[in-house]
Amino acid sequence: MMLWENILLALDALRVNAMRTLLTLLGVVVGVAAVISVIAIARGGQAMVIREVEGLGSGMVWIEPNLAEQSDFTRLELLDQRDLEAVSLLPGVAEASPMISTSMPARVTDESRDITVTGVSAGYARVRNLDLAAGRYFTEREVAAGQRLAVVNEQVVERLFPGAEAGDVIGEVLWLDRHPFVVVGVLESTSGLVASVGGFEEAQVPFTTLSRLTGADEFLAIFVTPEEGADLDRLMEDLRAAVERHHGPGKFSVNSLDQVLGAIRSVTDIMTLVVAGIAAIALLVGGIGIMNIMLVSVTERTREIGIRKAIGARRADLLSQFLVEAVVVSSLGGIIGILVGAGLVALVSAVANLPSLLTPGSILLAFGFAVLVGVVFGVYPANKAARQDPIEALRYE
Amino acid sequence: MSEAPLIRLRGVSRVYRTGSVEVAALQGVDLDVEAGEFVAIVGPSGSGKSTLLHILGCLDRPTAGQYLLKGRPVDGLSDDELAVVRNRELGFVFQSFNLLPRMSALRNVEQPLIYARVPAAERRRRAAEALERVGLGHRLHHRPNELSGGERQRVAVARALVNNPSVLLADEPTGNLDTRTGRDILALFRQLNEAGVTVILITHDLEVAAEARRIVEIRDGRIVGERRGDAP
Ligand SMILES: Nc1ncnc2c1ncn2[C@@H]1O[C@H](COP(=O)(O)OP(=O)(O)OP(=O)(O)O)[C@@H](O)[C@H]1O
Ligand SMILES: [Mg+2]
Repeated sequence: MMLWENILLALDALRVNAMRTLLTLLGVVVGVAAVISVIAIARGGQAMVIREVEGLGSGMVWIEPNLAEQSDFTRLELLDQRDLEAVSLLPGVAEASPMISTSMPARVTDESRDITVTGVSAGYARVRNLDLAAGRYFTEREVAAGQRLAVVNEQVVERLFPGAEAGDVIGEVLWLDRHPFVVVGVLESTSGLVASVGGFEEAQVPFTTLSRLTGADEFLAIFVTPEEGADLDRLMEDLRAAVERHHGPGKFSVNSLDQVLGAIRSVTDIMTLVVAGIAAIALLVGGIGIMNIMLVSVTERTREIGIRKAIGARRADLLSQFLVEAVVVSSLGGIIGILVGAGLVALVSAVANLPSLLTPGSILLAFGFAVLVGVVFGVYPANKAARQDPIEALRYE
Repeated sequence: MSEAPLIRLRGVSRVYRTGSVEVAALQGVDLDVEAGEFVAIVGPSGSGKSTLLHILGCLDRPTAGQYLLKGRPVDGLSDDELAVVRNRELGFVFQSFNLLPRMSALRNVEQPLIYARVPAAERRRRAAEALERVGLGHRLHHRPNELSGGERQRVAVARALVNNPSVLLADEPTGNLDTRTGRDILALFRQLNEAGVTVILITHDLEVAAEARRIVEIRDGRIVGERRGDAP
C-alpha cells in the first residue's frame, strides 16, 4: 500500500518537472542501452564466428609449419611421408590426412583458368567435415593406387561447367595441366563468412596422384582426427614430439580447433567486458545525475517534508518516498534504455547480418543495474530528506 | 479532578542557542488543558506562542520541564514515536495553510491516514467525510490553487481532523484571511469544539481570542495571566 502510494507520489513529482526528469533519465538510458546492445552484439558476433570455426571440422587437430619460426617462405620446410607414418601410428589417432596444395591451370573445353588443387587422402572429407552435393569422395584404395579422380567445389562447377548443376558434372573430365581427371564428386557449398570470403575454385585429388604428377612429395599440413575420448592435450604433445624427431624443435606447430575456439571466446569476452565496463561507467554517471537532481528536489520540497512530518510521517516513510522516487527515475531510464538498446541491436544485426542475441538475462541484468543505480544514488538524498527537523523544514521558504 | 488532564506542562522551558547567544523563548511554563476545552493563547509578537504550540504539538522538545499527554510523559519518546503521536493524537492548522500544492483537497486530507496505514478505500471515505464536515463536500477534487483562502484553511482543518486527534492545534489560523473569512473559520473551530474536539489556538487578535472559553496570556516566555472568554 505504502509502496504504491510512493510510486504515485514519485510519478506526480516527476511529471511536474517533466523536462528535468527527462534530462536526468538520459544518463541511465544511455548506460542501459549501451550495456544491452554491446552484450547482445558481442554475443551475436561471437556465436557467429564460433559456429563458423566449428564448421571447419569439430575436434580437428592439425600440424603445420610454424611461420613464426620459419619466416623464409622460399625455403619453407614442409612435412613428409615419414611424418605422416609416424603420426598415423600414434595412439589416439583415428585418422591422419596429409594435404598438398598447389595451383594448376584447369580446363574442360577451351577456356583454361588457374585453380587450387589440393592433394589429400580419403579421410580428408571426414576430418574437415565436408559434405557432398553430388557424387562421392575417393576411397583409400583409389588414393593408394594414385588414380586420377577429382572432387570439385561449387565454384569450379560454376566457372568451368557453365550452366551445369552439381549432378551433371559427375563423370565429366577435368583437365589439370595436361592430365585428365574424372570428376567423382561435388562439394556442398558451405554457407558462412569464411566460405563467402574465400570463394576460390578448388579441386581435391588423391595426394598420391598429385605428388606423382608434380614431383612434390611434401605436405603443407597433416590433419588428424582424434579417437573418441582421446586425451587431446596428451595427443598434441605426442604429435609435436613425433614431428620434432625428424625436423628438430620449433619448426612446426600443432593446433586444435578447440584452442582456436577458446582463443576467440576469450578475446571476445574481454572485449565485451571492456565495452560493458565503459557502459557501466555511463550508468554511474547517470546515477550521479539522479543524485544531483534528487538533492535539488529534496531542498525544493523542504516545506513538503516539514508538512509530512507534522502530520505524522516517520523517517522511514520519507526515506522510502524519496528512495522510490529515485528508483522510479532510474527504472524509467532503464525501461527506455532497454527499448533503445533493443532497437539498436535489431538495427545492427539487420545491417551487419549478425545473429542478434538479446537474451532475457542481459535485459534483466541491465534493468537490475538501473534499479541498483537508483537505490545507491537515491539513498543519500532520501536520507537527507528523512532527517530534516520538522520545525526547520516547516519554516523553510 | 482525580484523572490526569489531557495536557499537562510543568516548568517547561525552551532555550534557543544561536552561536553564543541564548534566547529563552519559554521559561518555566505550567499549563493544564482538559479534554473538550477551547483555549486561546495570546501575547505580543515574539512572546513564545509558536514555540509553546510546537512543544504541545510534539514538533519540538522542551529544553527543561515535563510534558504529559494523556498522562504519559512525551520527553522520552524517539523521533519516530513522536511522529506516531502527531499522527494519532494531534492535528495542526497553520497560518499559511501548508497544503501540498499538487494534490486535490481529498488527497491532501488523505495524507495523515496514509501514515496511519489506513486502507485506500476507507481513507478516501474518511477524507471525504472530514471535508464534508468543514463544509467542503463540493470541493473534493480542487487543488489548493483552485480554492479561496478560507477554503484552503478548511481543507487544512479537515486534514487536522481526519484521524480523530485528541487536540486541534492552530497557530494564527485566521492570520492570512480577511476579517469575514476569519470569522467563518473561527465559527468552524467553535462548532468543532461544541462537538467535543479540544482546541488550542494562538492569536494576537483579542477579538478572535474572545471566542474562546479560556484565554491564556503569555509574555516573554511566561504565562502572565488567564481569563475566561466571552464565549457561552
Ligand atoms: N529557531 C529559533 N532560533 C532562535 N531563536 C528563535 C527560534 N525560533 C524562535 N526564536 C525566538 O524565540 C522567541 C519566541 O518566538 P515565537 O516564534 O515562539 O514567538 P511568537 O509568540 O510566536 O511570535 P509571533 O506572534 O510573531 O509569531 C522569539 O524571540 C524568537 O526570536
Ligand atoms: Mg508565532
